[in-house]
Amino acid sequence: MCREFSSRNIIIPLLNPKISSPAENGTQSSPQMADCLVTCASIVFFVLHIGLFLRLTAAPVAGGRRSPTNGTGNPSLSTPLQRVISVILSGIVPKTKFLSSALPPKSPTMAATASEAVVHEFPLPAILTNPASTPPTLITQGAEGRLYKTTYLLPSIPCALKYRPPKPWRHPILDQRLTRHRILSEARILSKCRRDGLRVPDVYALDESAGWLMLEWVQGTPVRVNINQRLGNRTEGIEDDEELKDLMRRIGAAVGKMHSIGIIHGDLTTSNMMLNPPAGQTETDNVSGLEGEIVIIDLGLASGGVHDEDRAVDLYVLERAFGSTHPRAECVFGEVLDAYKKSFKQAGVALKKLEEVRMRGRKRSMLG
Amino acid sequence: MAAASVASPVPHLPTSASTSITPASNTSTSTSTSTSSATSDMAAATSKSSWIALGCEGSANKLGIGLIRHTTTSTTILSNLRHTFISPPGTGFLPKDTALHHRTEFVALARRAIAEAGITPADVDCICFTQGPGMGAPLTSVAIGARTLALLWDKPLVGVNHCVGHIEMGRDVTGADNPVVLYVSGGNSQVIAYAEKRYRIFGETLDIAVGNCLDRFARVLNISNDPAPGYNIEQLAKKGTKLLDLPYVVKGMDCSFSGILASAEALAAQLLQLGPEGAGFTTEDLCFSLQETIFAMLVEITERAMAHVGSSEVLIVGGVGCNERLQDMIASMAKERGGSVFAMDERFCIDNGIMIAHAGLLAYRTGFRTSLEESVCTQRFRTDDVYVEWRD
Repeated sequence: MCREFSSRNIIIPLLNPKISSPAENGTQSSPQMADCLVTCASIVFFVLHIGLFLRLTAAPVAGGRRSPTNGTGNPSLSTPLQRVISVILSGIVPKTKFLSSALPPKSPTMAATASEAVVHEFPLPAILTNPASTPPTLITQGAEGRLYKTTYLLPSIPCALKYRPPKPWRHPILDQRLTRHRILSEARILSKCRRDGLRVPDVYALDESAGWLMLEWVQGTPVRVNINQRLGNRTEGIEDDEELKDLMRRIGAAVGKMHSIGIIHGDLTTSNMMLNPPAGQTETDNVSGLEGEIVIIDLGLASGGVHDEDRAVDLYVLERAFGSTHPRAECVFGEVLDAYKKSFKQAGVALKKLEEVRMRGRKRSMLG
Repeated sequence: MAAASVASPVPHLPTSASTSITPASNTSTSTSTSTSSATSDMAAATSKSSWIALGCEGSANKLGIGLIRHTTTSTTILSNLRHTFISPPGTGFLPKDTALHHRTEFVALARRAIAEAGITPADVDCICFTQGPGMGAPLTSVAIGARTLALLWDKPLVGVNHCVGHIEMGRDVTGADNPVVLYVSGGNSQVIAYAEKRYRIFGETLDIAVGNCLDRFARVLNISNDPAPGYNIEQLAKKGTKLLDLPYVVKGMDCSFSGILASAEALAAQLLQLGPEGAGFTTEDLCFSLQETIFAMLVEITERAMAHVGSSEVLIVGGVGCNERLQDMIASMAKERGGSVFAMDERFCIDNGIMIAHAGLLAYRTGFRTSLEESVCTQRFRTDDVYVEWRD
């Protein structure tokens, strides 16, 4: 999808000055597409560089030099970026729309989902009310906020917009503090993961005062759905299901990779992992329903950390969430930990600590 | 909270401690329905259409005894009495004193509960008691009382998980079908949802319970324990305006309150030393900030669990669930998610005997019994240890 355009080249410098990544996943665009890209890329580049300049002069965000606890942020920070985004949406999108009409439709599933714009009962964030923006689809109302599917720069580049609306039940000061902190911290952590080679969604843009974060659209379904589909009504033979166990191992490896680069997720559940089907395969082609790459998402509660204690608690959260969500598949959870153990050097120590975490505090059971 | 609290000092309790009886309201509504209790218990077991249970609760500082009647279609509360051990301001209730209180009051309260229900011991089908979780000594005292009644009247015993009691009573009183349950009290803070015959804990506190945090904070500022420290904090918080910076600790669907308590205690000490002028905030502000912060955390973990299980109903149970600010916050959140909140008043939110009777009777009707040898208590009894036979 969008990754084939390797839009990352253009966009990443905006948020992460340290990366000037060449396309990691071999670019396979047709010459026709390449032409379009060159045209719009030059426009985008120009605008974005102004944006980058403004942004860097305002305050570095993605560099992570500001402390995350610095709650009283700089209000001017968002303004240049906001301006850039609105310039992009109002100025460039109409042109690219014209250009994109020449593009062949990329995928039938994509086209279908794009046309299913649902009627919103919630007020849209300001960024999506721009007349030039693609009609957004509300994907889910998550725990923290809402996830919209819309497009970024080109109508053919789908993206996810994570919007954290103000929570009227929270004290406004507390609400603002939490929203700002979480959006900035998520963006920083995502770019760090990206830099260190963990597969997570790319960061496209953000405005922490308005409460949104624009991310790469990850194809596929949450792992929870795949596991539940796989389990169906079965009660037997689950512990011998090799494909399911293989999925467990991939989960373990992904979590291990994340921990090895010093990131603690903070909310590991099977809903917070996407199963990204292999390239060129639509969801229906996925015969076993369990093939694909694990993409860890929703790092809104993540933090940096290399302590075994933090890693163990992270695993414990996953273990318990897994047990509550898929009680029948608990028997294969050991595979996650086995794969985790092999994924990096310190893993063994973290697993040792996990036993301690399990045993202590109120969570242990002491019947009788 | 306690609508009518009658102070009645008990001679052999710590001198300044007072106790309060809370007569629960809707009692004796259907005492006129005289069931044919003449029929033998065992013989009519299959064709039985009405059951009565007596529930004994005493996992913390409340001693509760209640009687409930189930028919195949309805439940009727026959009596619901509570006697609370209240410790002086600045102190908490200690297991030893609380156990003494429960032992002292048990017989009188049981007699009154039976009298108020207008039945005889022969009408009772089973004796239900709290098996855990809770404080060891008070639990044991009440279990002894329950065992005595069971042997005296020759009735089967049914051990009940305290948390499951709260949940089942909440479901029955509010009519919520399959809600996400926020169980917040002095000893427990859990977010629970039902799945495959068990109440599964999705999130909970990693250290102390939210009610414990409030209680201990109240002690530092010498806030009265009558009727409950949390109630008095709530009243003070209504006058607070300034939000002080306190830690906000949510880890996934779990949260932690001990760090907040430490911060709040430090601020309270500052306040006591410098006074409101010097410290720049008042007791009311501090109560307000504490409530806003910890309730925001609770709402957040509840919302996460709702999103995770795809439910839009919330049921709040437990003593802290009486707090109207918490109820409002949860209601506002649930409304935004297109759902609704089910909350109760102090009769059912605060520990009571009727919930133990209700949950016990549900289990009894599926054939569950606790033998005398098994009728031991445990301080730690996980909500998900209970096999919920009576639900689909």
